[in-house]
Amino acid sequence: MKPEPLERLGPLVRAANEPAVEAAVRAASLRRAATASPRRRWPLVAAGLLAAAAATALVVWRVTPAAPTAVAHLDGVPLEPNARVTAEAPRTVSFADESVAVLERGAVRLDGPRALVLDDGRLELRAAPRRRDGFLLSAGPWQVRVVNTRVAAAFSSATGRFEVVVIDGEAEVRGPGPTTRRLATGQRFVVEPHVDTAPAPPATPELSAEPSAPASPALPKRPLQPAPVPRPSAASSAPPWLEALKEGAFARAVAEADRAGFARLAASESPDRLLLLADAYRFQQRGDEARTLYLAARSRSRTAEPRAVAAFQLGVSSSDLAEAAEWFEKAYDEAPSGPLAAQALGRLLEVRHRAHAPSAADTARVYLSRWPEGPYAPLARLLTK
Amino acid sequence: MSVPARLSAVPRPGDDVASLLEALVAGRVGAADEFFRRFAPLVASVIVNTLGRRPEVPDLVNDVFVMALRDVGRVQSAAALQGWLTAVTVNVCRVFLRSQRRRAWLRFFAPEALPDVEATPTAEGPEGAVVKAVYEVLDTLPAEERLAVALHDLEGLSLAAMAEAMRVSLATGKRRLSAGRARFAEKARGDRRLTEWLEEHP
Repeated sequence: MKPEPLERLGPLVRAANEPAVEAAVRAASLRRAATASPRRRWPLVAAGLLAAAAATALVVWRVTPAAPTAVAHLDGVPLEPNARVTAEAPRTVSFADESVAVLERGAVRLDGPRALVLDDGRLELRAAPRRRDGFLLSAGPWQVRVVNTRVAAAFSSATGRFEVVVIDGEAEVRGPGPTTRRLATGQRFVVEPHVDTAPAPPATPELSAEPSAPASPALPKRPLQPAPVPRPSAASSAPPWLEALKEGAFARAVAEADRAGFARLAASESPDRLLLLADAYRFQQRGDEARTLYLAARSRSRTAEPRAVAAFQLGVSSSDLAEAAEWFEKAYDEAPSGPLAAQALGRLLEVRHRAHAPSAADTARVYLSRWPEGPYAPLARLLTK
Repeated sequence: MSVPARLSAVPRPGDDVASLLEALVAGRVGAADEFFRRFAPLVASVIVNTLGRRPEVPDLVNDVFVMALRDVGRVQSAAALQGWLTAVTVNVCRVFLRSQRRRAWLRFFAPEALPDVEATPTAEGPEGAVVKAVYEVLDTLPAEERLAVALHDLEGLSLAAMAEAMRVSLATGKRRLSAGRARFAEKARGDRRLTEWLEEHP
């Protein structure tokens, strides 16, 4: 019986496809590694660029190893991109960029090639010197960005207590609000949460400058002590609108800002204050002024996270799907490890889905790779089916 | 010092499939990488032979592993792992084929989403033209018939393995293969590249 045409063609097709199979494995391997990194640039995963990404991967493969490289190792063993490490005795996580974290006890999670989340416990981190954008250590709502720095940090998931001390170098600490605090060698940042059962006001950070005391050369063996230095007394010189904001009196804050001159404030205040003021205007349903202030904050800020926060709020307040998508994409792209990154990407996914954009599926894949249990995960799964 | 379960073992190339499956189910560090390293060629081969050379193939390979890693706990035994993974791969191909026509209009409106023709290796010469013609004809076949002929005649799976991968009975698999072959043969008669090659290779 004469073989069917396809049976005769099979060996030819198989042989012709072999290079494509090998290329697909290499490209998939590279894409797999890239997807695992939350710091990849958005254009890699943007709509319509899947093919270009594959092409790029094939080109890059010529000069790089095909196998994905672990971003970190635990005691010499490669870790998966989002691995969680627990320790009852000191364990060392070494990153590919030569940053090293010693977890004294507790639990940490990898959040990218230069990002670590302290879920609970204490650690000492020595960030590699080369990276301009630094190493990001997160703990609860707090984020510490370090560059060529040694810090010791402690976080209690039970109480919310957070403490970081700069052993050597400089660090930036950022909390739920837009304010960023800079710490130098020997300075300590402590958040003591309220422990009573009544509804607690937001935790008040204390900043301790102890230039006369040498910084601890190693992670303290006992729990870090709260900083003894009182809070800065700059509050008395704060403008009336800021005083009102601190009291939660948004209507009064906006009235005071109007009295002080909206245009003057928009042109002169710092990015962090502009964000606070923009929120106040937004709460008072004065969207145009809020938008002006968010845009001013973006144009004046030299760091990524205030810009990202402003971009996120601009996206939220936008009634145009395309414009909202643009702002959410900026918010995610500018601070992919920032506190609003998950929300920014989730909102971007939602907006693209509503706009029937072909890129929604790509966004969904990225979202699932980073936040498989996140609030937008069900929608993302739907879009990737 | 206690060692968390996820960190207690890393599968190595020399380990057997049973160890790998055990490590995957336990979620041990390195197991997913080893799973990918060992089975990605199989997955890519099934996808390329079924769908042809497309720029989406690397993404589809990754889609297969995302699904497989999610559901690997359902695999009953090490002997079933490869067949199960092939079935997952075939399902990804099936979803892709069915969505292709639905998404075709989007390409018209979004030219930037068109596949980059340089993104995948292209077959050169007359044989490349024949292979291209094969997939042009396959593109006109119903998805299930296409899967059957691609898995059996192009990928080289046995009838039983083909049916298992398609998650159908052997009889159904044979029926789809027969229908797909017949449809392919009929359409191939209208393509000069295929008729010439088939005449030269009786």
